[in-house]
Amino acid sequence: MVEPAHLAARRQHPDRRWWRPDWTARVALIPALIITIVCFYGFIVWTFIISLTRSRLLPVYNFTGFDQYARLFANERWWTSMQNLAIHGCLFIGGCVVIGYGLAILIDRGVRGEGLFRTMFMMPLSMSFIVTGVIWQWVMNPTLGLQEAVRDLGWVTFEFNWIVRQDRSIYTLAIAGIWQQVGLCMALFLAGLRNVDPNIWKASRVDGIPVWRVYLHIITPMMRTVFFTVFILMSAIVMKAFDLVVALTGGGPGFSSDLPARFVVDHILNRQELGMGAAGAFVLLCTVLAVISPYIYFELRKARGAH
Amino acid sequence: MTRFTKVAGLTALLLAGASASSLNAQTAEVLHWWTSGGEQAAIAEIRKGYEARGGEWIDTPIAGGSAARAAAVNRMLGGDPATVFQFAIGEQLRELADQGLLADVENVAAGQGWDDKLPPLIMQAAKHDGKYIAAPINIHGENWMFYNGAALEKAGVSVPKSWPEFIETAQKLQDAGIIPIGLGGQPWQERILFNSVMLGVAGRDFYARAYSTLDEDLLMSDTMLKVFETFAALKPFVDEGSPGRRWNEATAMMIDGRAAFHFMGDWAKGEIIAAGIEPGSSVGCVFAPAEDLAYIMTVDVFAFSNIDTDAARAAQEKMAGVMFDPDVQIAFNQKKGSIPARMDIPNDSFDDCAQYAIKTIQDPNTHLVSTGLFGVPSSVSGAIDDTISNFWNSADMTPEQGRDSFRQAIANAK
Amino acid sequence: MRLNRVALYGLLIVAAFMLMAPVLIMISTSLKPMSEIRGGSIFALPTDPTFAAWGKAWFGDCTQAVGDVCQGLSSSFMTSVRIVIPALILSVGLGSVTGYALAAWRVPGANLLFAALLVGMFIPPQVTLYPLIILVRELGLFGSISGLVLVHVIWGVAFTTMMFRNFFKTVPQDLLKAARIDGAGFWPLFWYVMLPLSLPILGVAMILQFTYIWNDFLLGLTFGGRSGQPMTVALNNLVGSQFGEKEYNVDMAATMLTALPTLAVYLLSGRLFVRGIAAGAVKG
Repeated sequence: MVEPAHLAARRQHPDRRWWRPDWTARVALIPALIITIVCFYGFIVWTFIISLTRSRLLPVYNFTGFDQYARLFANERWWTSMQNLAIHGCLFIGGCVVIGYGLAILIDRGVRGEGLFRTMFMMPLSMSFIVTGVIWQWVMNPTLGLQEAVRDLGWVTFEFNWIVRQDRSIYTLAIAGIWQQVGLCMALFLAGLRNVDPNIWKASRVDGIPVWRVYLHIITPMMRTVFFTVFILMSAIVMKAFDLVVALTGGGPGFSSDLPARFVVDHILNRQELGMGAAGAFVLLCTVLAVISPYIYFELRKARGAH
Repeated sequence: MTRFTKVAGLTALLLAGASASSLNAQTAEVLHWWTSGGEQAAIAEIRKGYEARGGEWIDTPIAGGSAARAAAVNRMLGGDPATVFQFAIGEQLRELADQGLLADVENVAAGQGWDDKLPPLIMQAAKHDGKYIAAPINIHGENWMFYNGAALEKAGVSVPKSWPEFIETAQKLQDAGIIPIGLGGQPWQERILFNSVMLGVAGRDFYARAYSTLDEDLLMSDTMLKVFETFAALKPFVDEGSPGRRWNEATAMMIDGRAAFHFMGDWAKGEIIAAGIEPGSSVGCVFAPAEDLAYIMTVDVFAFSNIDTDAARAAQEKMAGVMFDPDVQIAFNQKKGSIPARMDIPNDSFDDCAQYAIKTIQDPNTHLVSTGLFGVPSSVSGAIDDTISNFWNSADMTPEQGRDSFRQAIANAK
Repeated sequence: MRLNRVALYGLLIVAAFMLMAPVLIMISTSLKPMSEIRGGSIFALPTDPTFAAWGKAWFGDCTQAVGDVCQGLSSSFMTSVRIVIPALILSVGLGSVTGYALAAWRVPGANLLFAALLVGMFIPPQVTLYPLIILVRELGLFGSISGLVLVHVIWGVAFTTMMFRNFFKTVPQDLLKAARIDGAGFWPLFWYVMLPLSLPILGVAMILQFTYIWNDFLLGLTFGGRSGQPMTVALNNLVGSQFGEKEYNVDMAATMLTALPTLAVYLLSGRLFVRGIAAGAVKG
């Protein structure tokens, strides 16, 4: 505790108790407060208002009630994309958490060339999806990629044609999505692991607890907020998944691998359907908030208890 | 936060600098989405023409039509519009005009007699309240059927003239181990194939009426069912790797003989030329099988932002004049692979495919619109692509169901 | 124990290979001429490697075009740097201070504000472009790098705040208590205690924000104006043409080139991770 003591010597306010509210903290929160109210909530309200209008290319304010919602709910492609959101969300977030945590633990065991591994794992994160989509499409294409290559090696019945099948294409999104984001999850978990008190390891070694049990029963519960961070981050990525779909499957075959974000953006930017796009965005936002807000509430309540 | 005030001050300086440069007379900032080699070479011809007449050209290329259109609109809303911008004609442009965001070029158009020289369909689409709001520069055709001559020879078949004949031919090709149709599997590509089938099976009058009226009875007619049946019959003749394939990869399949036929717009000629082949030689170009001669057209246009300065107006009018200039249209279209929007241009300097197209469109009855962004409202255009692609890729939808979802989606989007 | 080590490295190498494979294909493709790409297998190595595509991606190809149409990535590299540095500093700075204020100080409604802020991460920016354009226009910042930086801060602050707030929540309360009893105020506590502790998460936050801002296309295109078009717009111009001929080798080379600065940041921020170990040691 070197720093605080040093500070104490500089500043003497013995009467100032540690929990006293500090005006500086409140002032420091003003920019975030303004952005939250004006931009985030202002924009959500705006989106809702636009969803009640007949806006096409540009925002106009000729209200038509809930017409756009009726049109949205009559749209088959919308329902496919919402269903896909659930499938993709579970696979993608689950995959990123499990694999990312696993890789972080491996690296945390103290390996040579840690920096190299970390960089390699995070490399996909830096690749623009416009072009990596081309590569993934080639790799997963049955006549160009993996399937053909394995068959050429002699395993002629090998099948990997998910990307061209309407009933499987949604899973290819999870593969490419995990590929791109798993490095980030790894980095977050690793940062969390680096923050674990080394004494825990000393103690567990003395007690002779196997390493995997230390991770499972001691470290993992300590990483609760890291899991929270990863979950929120990955959910936000799923919610906004647009480039991934465009680059990899274009939503196809048909619209079988479409996700709501692409549906919304497609309708706003390409189809002169600003009103319906806004309705979709609003429904999407409500759905996602309904799913994650219990988690946020629970997490914040627990944190307050720990105070 | 002091950082922000600093940033704000800096911005004021930047903005002042930016507006000073646009005061220069005849300076036009041109926003467009032509960025590949051949496309750049084509737009360079317009630029040359503009600069030769004393104008100064500021180039703002943004690849991808959708990104470029969005950027053009957003910059108008933000108060920093490009002088001239590429756009799609149709409803979107008309909405911009309704909002007072566009300038017209009626003076130039009247002077050059655009009315008499443009195909009537394009003329109407380029006007708003009787005034030209867009300068059409070219016409792309979408009902082309490219074929690999060697592949046809190998299977002992010739170019089919009707869809039933095509299906027989395709069967023979498949038996000979050749993929009959090299198809790119994105919705717009599948729609190009569908519209070619529709033109061939239902005829050009039906095509024109169905897409101009979007009439439910026509869309639910037996003719439409036949279209869907024929379209469905083509499914076995496409290889497994088609879904998601980009158009140029499909073109490459046809060029190197893995596939025999390829349905694509005439921009495919760019890839054919890049592979070192003259279109019309070993890779042939004909219209997709149809009894009626017809040309499914899309058109590239430029529009003009409403900027209230004499300099900007002068630059816009000069630009419109250049874009309609016959020499510029010839030079541009030779590089672009399309044909001039003007119908009065001699065809002898173009390749065989383009010459044939120019000859065809001399008869206004052959003029049909593509459903991509021009012929129909963009909401309907998108709905058509959705349902066509869904039907094409579905293993169990019947033609009846396909027709039904087609009608429903169009009705919902109208 | 030895066997464990072998398995550990084995797993890491397999994972590294699987994550690198698409990148390796990309590099291999970028070294092939187009003729080889059209016909050959994607897994085949280039028979006659050439860096021509890399040169074309960086410098552009002026054989066909006239004037400034033909610029490659090099033209906008500096613009991206000028955008990313202030945007990175401001968004990470604001996020760390906000996260710290939320986590370490008792502010009424802190949890509410935090929960409300999190919602911002779930708004797709494409949906709310119009109101943002109007907002930035009214501030007089539309079409400038400052405007773009502001937009990046707005869309980045929820991310960065969450990272720091959640990290600071794991700092033992005893430590904060002790510091405050010693009389440390808001800023000294931040500078001398919390920020040094947060180096690993600072590393992640910087990596993430850098990647997002560097790879952003839509916001740069919309808000940057003519002088503020980032490298991704140039990248898109190289690879994004819809109907023109495709040159996959140039596309791949351009993508690799665009990714290089991000990779450099990953390597550099690795130092912060290592320092994190030291920070942990101090705590123990």
